[in-house]
Amino acid sequence: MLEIGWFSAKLFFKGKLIREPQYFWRQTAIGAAISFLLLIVPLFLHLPLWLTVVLSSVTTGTIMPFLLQDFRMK
Amino acid sequence: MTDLLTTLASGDVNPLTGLVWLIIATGLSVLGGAIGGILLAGEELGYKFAATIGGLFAPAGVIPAMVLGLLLLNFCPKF
Repeated sequence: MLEIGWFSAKLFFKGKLIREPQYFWRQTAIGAAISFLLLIVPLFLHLPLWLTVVLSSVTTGTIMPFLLQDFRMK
Repeated sequence: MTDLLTTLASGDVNPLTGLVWLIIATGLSVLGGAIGGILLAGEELGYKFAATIGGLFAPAGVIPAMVLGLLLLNFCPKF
């Protein structure tokens, strides 16, 4: 399991994993925007920082695979 | 160490606590990504592989948002 992750990460940084970089970056930006809003908005409602960090990370982590489900690997 | 925990609990953001939050957030996002990957493709890819791929992509979205958010908090600590 770790080997797969390591191998993919190596390919990713060589720029050989993703066939459509534009699509990947767009979807990542959408994910990051959601994550950012989840982090900042609850702070205005005076929720503690640790709670917003946990909320935003877990939620974004869960939706990222859905955002990137159509991407093509080489 | 006690000081660090106190600052973390109080919600003040400085470079050190920011780094700690970033590490915590990355870990949690990998966990979330594994869950998302399993939900999405556990049936087709097998649970282990789906969780690995999900956990690989999750931090890509979380890390930039966290860095931005923590930078913002660094400049205006009290909302």
